[in-house]
Amino acid sequence: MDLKSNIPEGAISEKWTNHKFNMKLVNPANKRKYTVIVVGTGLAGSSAAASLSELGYNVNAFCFHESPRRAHSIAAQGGINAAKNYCNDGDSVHRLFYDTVKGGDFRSREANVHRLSEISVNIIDQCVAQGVPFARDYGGLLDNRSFGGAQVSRTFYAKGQTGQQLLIGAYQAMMKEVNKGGVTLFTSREMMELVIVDGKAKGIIVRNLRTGKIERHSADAVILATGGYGNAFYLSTNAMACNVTAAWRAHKKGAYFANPCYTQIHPTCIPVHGDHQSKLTLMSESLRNDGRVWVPKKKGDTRDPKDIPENERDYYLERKYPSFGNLVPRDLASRNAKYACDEGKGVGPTGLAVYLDFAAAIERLGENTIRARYGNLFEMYERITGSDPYTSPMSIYPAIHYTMGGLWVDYNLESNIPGLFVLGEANFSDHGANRLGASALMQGLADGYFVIPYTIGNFLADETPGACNADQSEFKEAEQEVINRVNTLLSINGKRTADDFHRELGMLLWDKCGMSRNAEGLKEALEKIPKIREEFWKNLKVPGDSDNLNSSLEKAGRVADFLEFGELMVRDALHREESCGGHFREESQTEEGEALRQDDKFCYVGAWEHKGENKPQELHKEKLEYSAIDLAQRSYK
Amino acid sequence: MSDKINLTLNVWRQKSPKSAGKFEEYEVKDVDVNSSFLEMIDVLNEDLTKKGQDPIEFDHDCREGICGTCGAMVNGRPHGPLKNTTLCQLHMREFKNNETITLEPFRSTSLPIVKDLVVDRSAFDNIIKSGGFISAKTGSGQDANSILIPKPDADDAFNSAQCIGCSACVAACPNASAMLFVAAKVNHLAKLPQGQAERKSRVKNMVLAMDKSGFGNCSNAYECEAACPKGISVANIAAMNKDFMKAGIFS
Amino acid sequence: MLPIKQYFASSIGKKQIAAVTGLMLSAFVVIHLLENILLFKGPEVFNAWVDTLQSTKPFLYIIEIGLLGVFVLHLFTTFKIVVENKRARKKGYKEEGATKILVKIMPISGTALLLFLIAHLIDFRFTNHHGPASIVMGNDLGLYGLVYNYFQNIFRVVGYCFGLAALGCHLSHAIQSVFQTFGIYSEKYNHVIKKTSVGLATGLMIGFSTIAILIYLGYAPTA
Repeated sequence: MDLKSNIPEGAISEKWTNHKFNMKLVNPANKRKYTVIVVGTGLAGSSAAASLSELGYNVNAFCFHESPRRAHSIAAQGGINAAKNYCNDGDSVHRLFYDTVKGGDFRSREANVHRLSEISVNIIDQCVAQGVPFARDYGGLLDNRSFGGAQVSRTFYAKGQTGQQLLIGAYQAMMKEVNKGGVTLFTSREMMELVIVDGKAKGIIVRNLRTGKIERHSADAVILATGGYGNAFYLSTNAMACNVTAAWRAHKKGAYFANPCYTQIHPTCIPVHGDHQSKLTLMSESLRNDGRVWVPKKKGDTRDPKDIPENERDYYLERKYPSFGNLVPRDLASRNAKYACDEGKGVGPTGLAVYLDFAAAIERLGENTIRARYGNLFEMYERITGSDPYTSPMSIYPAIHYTMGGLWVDYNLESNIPGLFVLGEANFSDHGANRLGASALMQGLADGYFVIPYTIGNFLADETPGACNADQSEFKEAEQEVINRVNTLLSINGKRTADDFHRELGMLLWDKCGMSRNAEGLKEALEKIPKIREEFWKNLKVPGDSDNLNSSLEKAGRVADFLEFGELMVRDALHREESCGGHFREESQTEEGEALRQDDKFCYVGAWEHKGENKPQELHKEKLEYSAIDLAQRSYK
Repeated sequence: MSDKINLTLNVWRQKSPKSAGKFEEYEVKDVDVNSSFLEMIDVLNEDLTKKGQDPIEFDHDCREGICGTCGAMVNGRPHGPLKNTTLCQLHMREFKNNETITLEPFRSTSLPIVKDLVVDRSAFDNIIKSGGFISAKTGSGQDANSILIPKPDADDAFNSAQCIGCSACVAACPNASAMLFVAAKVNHLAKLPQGQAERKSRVKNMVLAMDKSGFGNCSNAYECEAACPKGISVANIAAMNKDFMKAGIFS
Repeated sequence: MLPIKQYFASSIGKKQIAAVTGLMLSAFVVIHLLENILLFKGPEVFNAWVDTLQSTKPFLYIIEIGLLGVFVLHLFTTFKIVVENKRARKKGYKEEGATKILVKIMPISGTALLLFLIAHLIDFRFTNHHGPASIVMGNDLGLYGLVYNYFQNIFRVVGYCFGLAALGCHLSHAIQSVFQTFGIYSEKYNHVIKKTSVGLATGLMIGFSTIAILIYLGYAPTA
């Protein structure tokens, strides 16, 4: 199948405007006849459900949490970008567009990014109207800050809880529609299968996590807003329940999975403390504004950091990148921490950590200034580690944080399966190979509030409403598949828990397909993953039954899908023989050891097609063309 | 740093919403004091599973103290002994070697137990649904800076809006009242100019929805404030009482 | 606006009824204390005040009925609140947190207060103010005598003090609660409100008890 990106004609800044005019509309009186399923109630899902219901569509919204407000969008700390130029510092739609494409290392779709930048301003207006309490200055105007090394202050924020406030805003907007009857909410439902009728996405099969009941739901279109797959790595900053299942089930029903190897690694997380660690906690990147990163020069130096004299410390970021120093982009900061630890210079009990030292900043600015800037972060650090960052340097290490890859979508956010739309982190389109700070919230809300309400109409206008019902054979077959899979998981009765397998897969992916990769390691992983999977289906132990709340069973289903997905991620990483964005491919580096992108060979979206169980997926390429910006190598020296 | 402690856990086990539950005792050995409370239960659950017993069901997700999913009574306190801390952010270094810890679900009629330590908080969604929003349709927003909001008001609204909906307030309240949860939302929106149009109908509808859910009445014990992991003040309740009076009698 | 019935059936409405009625009852208690102080002015002054009150008879009955109404309303509302609160958590915790004791015992102090009040009304309101119980040193001193004689018995004095302890506990939480219930909350003045509430409650408790004890100890004039 050809990948048709359906990018509208015209100049980059005219495309979305023209497209909005050219798209078909559904008559207001007819909208209520259409039903749309929205899976996931994070920023993208809630905002889509609310906006579609406001237009008059019937929306059935599903989430696996007990309440839609629990989605992991809630944990985003930093902020949301918008090209408002309230600071009069030279920002514009074009600059945000430019920064995002460049930040994504020229692997995102130019037209989508431009639309995102255009819409960014509307998002802020919408959120303020809903009552999102953004930070304000003493004049009562919105406050902005510069974030993630951006040269303009375009980030809107609500203390360190921007994601929470935006999600609550979208959640409330959706609950308002639930109250009006436009949205029907299905909580504690996990999507287990996508149902395709005559080649179009027409429904889903879900499992009620409280009762175990498998349910069939039909609709005229299906929207997936199910987040990213960072938890494939077992340890990540994602919430415990984040998973790839919905996207993977869609992929196995024919949806292409694009750029699965594009994952983002956040440099400042609290390091792993032991074997039983369940997740990693992110510390805001802003810490690098005042903290200095260092390791001991001597290998295996176990002295207390205070006892290591200045001349025996290696401030490696300042040494290697004199002009950016500790503020290099996320990927460089992360990769260099790994190198230091690989060399045996890592600190802490596991040797997998580097110091982030505030001593110099405290001396220069005083403890009170540092407390005012980072007080809550320092408190959080101390609560988790029991160590006081005012007196002893923090230990940090990179962790998986966000996934840029996702289901392939065209300009309309529609996958290659007609009627299946994918929003937010679950799709691939806007961040290329690396996402800029404060852009994830922007994209989730842009997709939900301002893109899908237009583009879904264009699709539905040609559909007969209510053409399918959940009693059709396609639904019953899909339901039976799900029941069989659940029963199989429960009947294996082996010796290892799902967590155990998950940990094994995660370690392998982190090791071979993490910050820095090479063909040899990737090939090794590609051999090992099927073996883990094989053992999983023979030696898994799931306690309990399927007719009530059973989180072990939920987990097992998700791990089963990670075990298949992980292989695709490695396959994608292996084929992409270039270093770009968050990924360093060891075979592709400059003489100075920096990332070397290969535009002549890899300037495309790699979209993978499922070809059957245990068969290698087939690669399809969507060539990326840049008309408004020239391709250029990044340099932070 | 890598100290280990042994603990006895006294945990409420209940198979289903209707079944009778009881306490079960578990010995947990060699707990890493640097692990979180939930990681300690993870390890116990892994052991139970391997022994062929049912693991303890408990709600959790982000493990960063922001999603509001986790929560249980630890020795009679919601989220445990640390102030302004959710259960997932509580670490084992807060406990002593050979200590016995009693672990119970949040108890209230309106948030019934689903299984073990998991409770059903859909009553909270119903309360928000009844009026906890500003009816601003997508696309209707004017330029964000055309609404001036004095910084103290914006900060106040933010402080109330920090609520994570974990229901520790209900669990802590001797009367299982949800006043702090409801008041936090009422006040978040009442503090903002955007929230004025629906201010009166909002407080009326939300209080009535709260009452309908069967929560207890506030008796000003302020246990909710002490238990709230986000430090939300009972000043919100006072403000809601006033708003409700204005809306219910004087309008 | 809500229909009155619906408003006062709401949780906040009920609280406000309890608060207003409680406040009225407290005001009565304060007046009552002032009246009791008259005991130390001697039987003539005290009985003269009693006679003055009695002379307003139809009006006095109205006040009494009003007070009774307020009291019944307070009782009924708080009873409803307590029942609903119990229903909101049917099964308690194995291990209890540290709820403030005064709050926890509000229903208990309230019930104790109710029993005390019934006994108190029987003893003083519904006992004949003239007769054997009023005779002090051979003189019928009316209500004054009744009170005087009543507190010559140490057990009655102790029982009376217990009743007032219940009143003290009840009011020290109740008075500050009234402010919260009507939305008066300020970081700046909360401690003042709290201290006033506890101070007032303690003052009433000590005031009434001291009078009883002083009478027992013979400090009240007998003529």
